[in-house]
Amino acid sequence: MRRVNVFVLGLGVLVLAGCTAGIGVTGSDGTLPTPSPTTPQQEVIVAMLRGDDAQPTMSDEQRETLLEILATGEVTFEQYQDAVNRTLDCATDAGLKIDGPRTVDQGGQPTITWGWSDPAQPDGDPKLGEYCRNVHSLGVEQAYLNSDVALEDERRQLEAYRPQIVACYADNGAPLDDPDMDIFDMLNDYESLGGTRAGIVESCINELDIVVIP
Amino acid sequence: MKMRRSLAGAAVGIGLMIAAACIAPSASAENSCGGLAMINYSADHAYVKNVGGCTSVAVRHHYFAAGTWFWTAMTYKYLPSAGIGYVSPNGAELNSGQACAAVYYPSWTCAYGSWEPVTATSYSSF
Repeated sequence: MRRVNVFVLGLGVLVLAGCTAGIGVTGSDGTLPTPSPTTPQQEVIVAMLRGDDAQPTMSDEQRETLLEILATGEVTFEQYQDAVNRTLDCATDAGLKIDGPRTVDQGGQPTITWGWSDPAQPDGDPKLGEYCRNVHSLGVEQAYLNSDVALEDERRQLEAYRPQIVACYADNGAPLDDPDMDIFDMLNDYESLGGTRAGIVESCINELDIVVIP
Repeated sequence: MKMRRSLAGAAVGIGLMIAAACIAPSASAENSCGGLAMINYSADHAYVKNVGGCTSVAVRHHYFAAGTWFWTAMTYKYLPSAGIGYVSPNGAELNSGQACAAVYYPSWTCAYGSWEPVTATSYSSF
């Protein structure tokens, strides 16, 4: 019965979102008003809002939060946490079991992790939970995880691999002109080598098993 | 009784660890944006890497806790860099199972239709 209620609620949200999609997001010509996306955070927000315009799923609350973040570039942990909690409430109402949530302090900012399981699915696949997430928090999560703070932390994690990446170039006959270059540029610089040397350096970098927590 | 329970618990734990070890090898899958997504596993998490050309990827893993198998919420990465593995974070002390990767351009949500579980022995097309 609970599940039916959730679906009815979900349909209601869809209808509501369909009625309000575009408020303050798209102009009559279908283009987004200012600001034009210039940061990864703005890009991902705009992409998600556009996706939602095409297939409305987000709650009004999530859309409003995203527009706020788009305008200011600021996203707080509380905004992120509130959005995730709404997702988890929705999933619990749908009958899913939740493990967590846990706040993890591993990177430049705290993040929230959790597990979920749908007892009604043979493998526990939480499709309903991911649906709830689309409605309530996925966009806000993406805005948070692509904030300047998060990207700086990713850069910090990558810096640990710099000496090994530099060695991949040097040891394969393609020493870098500037070993202090931007780490993201360095990761992709092998493309400019062309030919088999590019492939060798790429393989070397891949073998480093570089891993980051987004 | 307590001893029996702890022995049973240990047996389950060891079984899960063996299961985790069995799925350890990586697997890869061609994806819809022309790159190659590779899933790797470590003891307590899964990660997706080598995704040149893709706009976005996602990864999650299956783990056992409190008597139930759970999926971690999908970890999405927007504009992934080639050569970097993006981690599905640790969900619990005991972890095992399956990871998935998906490429979902032009859709920003990971449509279930585009998910293919990648196991140790199979290669899947997204």
